[in-house]
This record gives sequence, C-alpha cells and structure tokens, in this order.
Amino acid sequence: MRKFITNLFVAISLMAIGCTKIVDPGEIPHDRRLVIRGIMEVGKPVDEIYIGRTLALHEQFSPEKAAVEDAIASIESNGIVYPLRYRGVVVDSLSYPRYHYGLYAADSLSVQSGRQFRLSVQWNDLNAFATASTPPVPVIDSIQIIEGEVSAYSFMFIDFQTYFTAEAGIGYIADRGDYYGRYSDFSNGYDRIMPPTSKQERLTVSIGVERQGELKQDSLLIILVAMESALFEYILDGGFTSRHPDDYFVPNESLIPPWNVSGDGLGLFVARARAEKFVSYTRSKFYFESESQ
Amino acid sequence: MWHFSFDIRRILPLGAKAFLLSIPLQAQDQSLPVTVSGTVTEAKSGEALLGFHVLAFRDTLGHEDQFLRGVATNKQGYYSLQQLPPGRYIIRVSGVGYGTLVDTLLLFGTEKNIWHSFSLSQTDIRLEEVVVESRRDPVPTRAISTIAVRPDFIRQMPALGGEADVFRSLQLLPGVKAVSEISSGLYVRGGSHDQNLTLLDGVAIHNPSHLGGFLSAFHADALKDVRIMKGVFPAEYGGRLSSIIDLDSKDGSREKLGGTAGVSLINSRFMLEGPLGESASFMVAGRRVYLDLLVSLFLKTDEVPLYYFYDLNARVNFALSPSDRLTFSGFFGRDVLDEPADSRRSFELFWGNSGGTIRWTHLASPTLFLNTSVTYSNYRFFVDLSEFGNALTGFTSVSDLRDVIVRANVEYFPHEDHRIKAGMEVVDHSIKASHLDIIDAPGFSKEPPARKFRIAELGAFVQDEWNLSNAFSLNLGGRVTYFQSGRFLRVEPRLLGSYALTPESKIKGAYARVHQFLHQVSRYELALPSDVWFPATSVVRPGRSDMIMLGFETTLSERAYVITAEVYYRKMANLFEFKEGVELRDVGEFESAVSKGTGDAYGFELLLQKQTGAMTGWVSYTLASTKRTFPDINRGRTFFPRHDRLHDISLALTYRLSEGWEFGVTWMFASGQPYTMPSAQYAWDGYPQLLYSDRNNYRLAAFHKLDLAFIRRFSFFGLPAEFSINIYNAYASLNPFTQIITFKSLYDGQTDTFQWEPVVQQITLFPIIPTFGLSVTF
Repeated sequence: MRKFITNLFVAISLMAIGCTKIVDPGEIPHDRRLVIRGIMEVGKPVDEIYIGRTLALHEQFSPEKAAVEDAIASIESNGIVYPLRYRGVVVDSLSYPRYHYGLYAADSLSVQSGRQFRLSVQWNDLNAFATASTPPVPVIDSIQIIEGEVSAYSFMFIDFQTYFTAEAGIGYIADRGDYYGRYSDFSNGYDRIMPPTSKQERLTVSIGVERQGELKQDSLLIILVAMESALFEYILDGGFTSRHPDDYFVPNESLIPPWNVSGDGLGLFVARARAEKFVSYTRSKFYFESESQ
Repeated sequence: MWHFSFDIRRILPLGAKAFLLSIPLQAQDQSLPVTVSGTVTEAKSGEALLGFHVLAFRDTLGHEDQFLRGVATNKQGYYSLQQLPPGRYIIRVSGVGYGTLVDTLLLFGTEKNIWHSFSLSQTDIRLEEVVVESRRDPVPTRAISTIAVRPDFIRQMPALGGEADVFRSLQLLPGVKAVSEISSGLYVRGGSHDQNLTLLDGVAIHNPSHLGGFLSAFHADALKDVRIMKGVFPAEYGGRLSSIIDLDSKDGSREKLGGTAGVSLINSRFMLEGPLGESASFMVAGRRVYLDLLVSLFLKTDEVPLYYFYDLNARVNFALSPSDRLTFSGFFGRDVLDEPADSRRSFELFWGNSGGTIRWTHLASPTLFLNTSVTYSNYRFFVDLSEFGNALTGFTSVSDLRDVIVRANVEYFPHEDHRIKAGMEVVDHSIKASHLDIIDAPGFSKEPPARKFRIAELGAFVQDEWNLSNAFSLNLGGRVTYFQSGRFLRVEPRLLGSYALTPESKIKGAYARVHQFLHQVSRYELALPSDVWFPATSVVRPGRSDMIMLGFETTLSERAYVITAEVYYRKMANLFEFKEGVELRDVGEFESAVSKGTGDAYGFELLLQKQTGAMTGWVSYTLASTKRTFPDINRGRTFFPRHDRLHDISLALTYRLSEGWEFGVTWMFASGQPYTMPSAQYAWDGYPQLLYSDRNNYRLAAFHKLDLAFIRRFSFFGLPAEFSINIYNAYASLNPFTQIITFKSLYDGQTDTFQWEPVVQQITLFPIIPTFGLSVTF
C-alpha cells in the first residue's frame, strides 16, 4: 500500500516537467562477491547450480563474463561430499536456443525429502556457503470442484477447492496447468501463495478457472509446491533481484536481498518438493484421471 | 486601580515636556520605585508584537544615557520593567522590521505601577530612526538558536506557483535543510522531519504539509509571527528532539475591516480581518488549490487521480477587560485525492489536520501574567481502496492522532533581574494506527487490525530568565514529563546563557536535553502523509537528544546588520527506523519491524541578516554533518542519512526598488546529498542485475538554484494590489532529484549475443518555471 501511495504522490509531483541526463557516476568501489543460484527439487537431478561473480559497475555486462567456470564447489549431505562439475555452455532449446553459462551439476546426488545440504564454493580468494533442507513432499488430500453460474456470455467460473496438510514452517504455492503447461519456475504466474504456519494444519486453497462455451470436456493440472521459508520469502518478494533500495528515495529496502548465501557470496540455495494432481472432467461431471507426485 | 494609561507624547506639549525633563532627578529619588508595564502593538492593526525589546535608559540631561533595564515582550505583546527608581527615562522600543521607537518617560514615584503602551508603525519608525541620535545601546537579548522570519518578508520571497510558503522559507536558514525539491519537510541540525514540533497558536500540527510534503500547511497571509528554535530551546517547550516551529496567527485588525485576496496559477486565497465591536477582533483566512480543475481541464484523462487541498484559519480575540483577553483560534486543512470519473476502483483518500484553542490571558498584577488554554489537535489519514468485483485486492488504512491539552502558564516578574515562567500541561493522546499491505493470501484480511492507544502525558516546567548583570544573562530551567505508555518519567535540564562583550557583541552558549514520546518512522524520508505516528512503548522507547552549542553575535552599522555564528554538537539516542527488507503489513508488528539506533550531528552556522532599509534579508552558510548507526541496517555500519549535506549556502533578499516595484531573490547551494548507488552488477537467470551493498554510499551532484520574484504594486479599482511574477530555478540548473540506472543492450551480430552496458541517468525536476499571481488588499 505504501508503494501505491508513494507512486501516487510522486506521479503528482512529476506532473511538473522534469528531464534526465546521462551522468558519469565516477568510481564506485566494486563489491566483489560470488553469486549462487541453486534450487533443488525432490526427485530431480541437481544440474542447474549457477555460480557467477559480480562485475564492477563500469564494466560491460554479459552472462558469459559474469559466470565462473573454475570454481571449486561441492554439496555435502549426510556426511558425503558431492563435488560440483562445470557443465560448460548449456543450450536449452534447439528451435530458439538460449545459452546458459556458469551451471554446475552434482552428478551422483539424489535429492530426497527431509535432508540437509550444505553448499561450499571457493573461487580465487572468495568463499561462499549456504544450507538448504528439502521439505516433505506435500500430499493433496482431495479436490472439491464447485461450478459457478453460467454468465450471459457463456462464461462459467469453476473453483477447484484443494485440500492438503501443511507442515509447520513450510510455505506453499498452488498453481494450475494443463497437459502442456507446468508450474513456472519461481515467481511467474502462481495462483496462490501460503506463508509458513507455526504448526501442522489442514489447509484449503481455492484455484479458480474460467471457461467459456459449451466445452464437453476439459482438464486441469493442480500443482502444489512445498518450500523452505527462504524460497517462500524470495517468491513473495516477486523474485527480488535488483530492486533499487531507493525506489523514490527509499533507502529502507534490503540492500542485500533476503537470500541465504553467506560468506563472500549472495544468492539463493534452496530446496522444494512438489505434488501434482491431474484432474479431468466433463461439464457438471468431474473426476480424477491420474495422479503423479 | 493599578493600571494607568500614560503616554507622555500625547498628553504634554513639547514645552511642558521640556520643563518636566528639567526637574532635577535627585528630587524624586527618595520616592518608591515604579514598575512600568504595558503592551507593544502594531499601530494600524493593533496586533500584539512579540519579542520586541523595551529598554529603559536614565536621562541625565546632557550626559550620556545610562542603560538601566531591558525586557522583551511576550506573545501577547506584554512587557514589564521592574523597580525603576523615580526619574527621567528614555524608553527605546525596537523589533525586527520596525526600527527603534524612542520615548521619554518621567516617573515621580507617587504611583507604584504605571501602564504605558507603545504602538509602532513601520513607516513612522523609519522617520524616527533618522532623527534619533545613535546610542551605544546594549545588544537586545535574542533568543539563542532562534530565528524569527517576518511573514511579510516570506510573502515577498519567490515562490513556486506564486504561493508563499513558510517552510520553504525556513529551509533557507542555517541549520535547516530540505531532503528534496518536492518536500517542504524540515531537517534541523541533523534531525529528521518528525522531530520538529510545529505549533500554530499552540496547536500541534502533526503533518504540517500539503501535496505530499510539497507545500506547507500554513497560509502566509494569516500569520503574524514565524520563528524556529533549533535544538536548544527553553524549558517551556518540549516533546520534539530537533526544533520548535512556533507560528502565531494574526489577531485581526481592531481598526477597520479589511483583508487580502489573491489568485495564482495553482490556488486562490483570501484573508479577512476586522473589529467585532469595540473590544473584539477577528481574522479568517482560507486557501484552495485547484490542481484537480487543471488536470480535468488540460489532461482530459480518467486515469490521473484528482487532487486538491484547502485550509481555513480563524481567530477571534475578545478583550474582556483591560487585564483579560479571551482568544479562540482554529485551523482546518484537508488534502483530498478523488477517484477519476471512470475509475474501476472505489477509491477514497484524504488526510489533514484540524485543531483549535481557547486561551484566556489574565494580567493578575504588573508582575504576574497568567495564560490558560485548552487545545484540541487532530491529524487523520484515511485511505480505502477496493477493486470492483474483487474485494480481496482492496485495502484500507487509517492513522488518527488526537490530542487534548490543558495548559496553564504563569509569567512572574518577582524582581528586576528575574522573569520566571512556570507551567504545567495535561495531554490526552488518542492514537489509532492501522497499516496493511494486502496480499492475496489466506490469513490476511481486508480490514486492517488497528492499534489503539489512549495515553496520558503530564508535563511541568519552570524557567528563570535571570540577568546577573547588564552583561550576563541566563535562562535556567527544567522540564519533567511523565508518559503513561511505558511509564516513562523524563527530566530535561535546560541552560541558555549569554554574555555581552561590548554593547554590540555577545557570546552565548546553551545545553538542552530533550525527549520525544511520539515517533513517526518514515520509510521514504519524504514525510508522506501515510506515515504512521506511533507512541513510545516499553519497547520503542522515547527518543533523546543532548545538544550543546556556543555562539557569537554582533551588530554592525547601527544594527542594520546582525551577524550570528554558532557551533553545535548533538547526540541522539533511541532513534527508530524500519529494518531492512521489512514490509510492515500490520502495525501489530511495529515494535519488531523497527530498529533502534543512535545518531550524532555537529555543525557550524553563520548568518548575516540585514534588518532595515530598502533591502532586507539574509545570507547564511552551514557546515554540518550527521550520521546514524542501527544494528539492523547497513549491516550495523554507520551511514549518512539522506538529509546530510556538508555545505549549505543560502541567500534570501527582498529589495524595494521604488514605491511601485519590489524585487525578491533566493539562491541556494548545497553539496551533494547521500544516495545509494550499486556497487556491482551480476547475472540472475541470465540477465543483469545490480547489487546494492551500502546505504547512501554515494553523493549526488551539488544542488543550486536561483529563484526570482518581481512584485508590481498598483491600484486595482482604487484598491492596493500586487501583481507578482515568480521565476523558479531562473538559470535552469539541472539539479539531481535522483539517479536511475538502466542497461543499454548491445547486440553483437557476429556471435549472435547481447552485452549490456549500465547507464546512469540523473533525473531533474522543475527546470525553469515562471508563474504569476495577483493579490488585492482591501
């Protein structure tokens, strides 16, 4: 709300004509740090741990230049150390290639629920550390489907009331997809976000879908992602990365985002677990077709 | 009857006056000493003149006059010269903007008390000043670290939009800083904007600004007196750490019905004053800003919210008897942001101050002056926003602060060298604060939970203005406050003193400890109306400031010029700011959302004032620094707040070119203010991001601008009128408002890759802006 009001006041103030000019800020001391971005998921391989470094403000930026290829890094879990291997340049789509730099993999590491992981990264004189723990895989107890009224333009609102048991200290995101879509990575397009609770409790999340016309059959993928609080805060913050701490002179925001990498590093090293239920239905008659977790 | 109106100038012809003056002094010396008291008022309007000096000199017929005693008038214009031995006296009355009035007084000693009032007129005094021979009078006792600015001077200064602004004028004084061009908030001697207590006729105005801080809440035409006390103030004032801004509205003319009316590009205003029968007067003034009408007229859009504000001042004075006066004064101001006609949202947002005072002043005897008042003050901020069809995305927020204050003061003159002031006050604070950022999630409700406080505050003070000798004076006092929330009992010693080195020069020093029991933690350093006031609790303890200052003051050219130099050091404790990254969704979390810290400030201030003549005004220079340390902010490292500026130079002058033309100029230079700049860039998901490591690690470019005002006086249908042209930022200085960093993408066709280059852009507000205004006096 404060931001809304601030925007309002600043917009009014800016009604007077202002202007901009490019200035040379001069030398600003470079804060050298390692940059870590790693999100592990129960049952998934650990092959997208990003390790990079900060560049000075006056340098030209490229993802390649910001990536670190020769870091000495490992993940330790249950007393076993899993070294990280640099994967080189990774291309994730042949039709519209996108190049990724700085990605490392822990080849033999299997991410299981209820485990702790400690990441150590060393590069030149910089050392960074982070700890992550995998939350329990969420269980969707049931889904109750409630049909709304059909509007004048044949729109109908369908509410998928999803019941699950939330664990204490774990945050949740609920989302939806279809046969082709899936839960988007971090902060884009989730339906509902639920903060960690202090105790185990049964929660309901309402996921609404609007449909038009006389569709006989449709389908929906209900996705529930459990995550530790660091990831919850990150998502809640809208994928906080470089929001200026001085938005309209706001020197009160975090200078370093609320991430969990310590030492000479910054970034996020976290774990999550997901459950998916696939719902197929025909109008006024819904049933679960398949389930995967 | 103890009071007796006696004006020798009116009663005696010149010859008789000369005869009386030739009576040998020794003949009356065995009679009783006489107390001379009375009021000093403005001749035309009958307004009481505050802070005017009344000095008594022995007249020894042909010998050099000997200064005997001097006092300053209080807020009611009252003075009392104690225990004058019978004889002939020359009385000199002087005040800023009025020069010196000289009168002769003969005391026979047959009456113990003499009532003798003075009426000063600016024009007459200028003539008298020429006639009267210059004397080596003592330098009038000026309040320490206090600067008075005449409202008529403020009205002649350049103003953006043609609207004279009290706070923007105060920003030109040494030790007073602004944080940005869009804020009229005051930052005094290293303090933040919430550390200023703004009093209008004794009513605390908790948010003294309009337009989100752009304009101050006071109508300059309605004011009689404006003064600011910086950090060290006498014991009669308390409750804020940095400054007291004491404003008095006009009593209203007792002579005739009159007033002013004016229009400018952004507002219209009026002030009406006049007598109410033989023993009463009134003043009523109002303003209305019509930005909403301008937006509707020119932008033709439904997207921009419509904004306007208005305020009203009123005051009525009744002279119940020669020794009793009853005053009613009130203030009401509202800022309103209306939803556009086709808005998809239901939207209501307003904020404002209201308040009033009933004051009874009673002159119990020539040595005892009583002042009793009941004051009500309210600041309210309200917003309600709900999107049609989806109540979950709406929010409401309320901030409401009400004070009811009963105050009783006595001013007692027990001895010629003592002026004792004592008083007590009982305050009933009612505070309701709610604040909520709705997120679309279970557990958060639309209705914000409010924190409600009902707190009693008791305060008492005593102070003695003690003239140890003609050269050495002290203001010794103390203040005790009990604040019910948290059960805090705080004692504040105050000591202010001055010593005259020569009749023209004096040194002065002061120490003051001050506490503040209401906090306004601002997230944006913009003094936004949405900032919530929060009382001290057992966790959020009262703020504390200890300031020590030393100064030197001298006058030149028969007091046409006053030079003041002051140095100060200040330590502040129990300061509160939001912790980094905290989103205050509920005021219930307030105590855990703020970090307690400390601060210090030091500075050197130099002020050269020109007080008389066709050109008046001042030049000031400030060298100052302030720092803050909070364990949860900036990783515990000390940083400079946004309002820290090392050098500050200001010039404010008005010049009367002729009877028809007047010219005003202000120029200011301030070294760059701290700003948070990124200290690195990095990749996140393949895209460049900026890393902000240290708060305010960088200084923006220096700020400087020149404002001009040309005022043409003419007759408008037989009425005196003024047409003013104001030029804001006359040489179009591109001053930094803020800096933003963007990434310019560079495509490399050979490798089919992108690179990015950070580009720093400086945003400037308000390049040269000419505006005009018209006002008529009737």
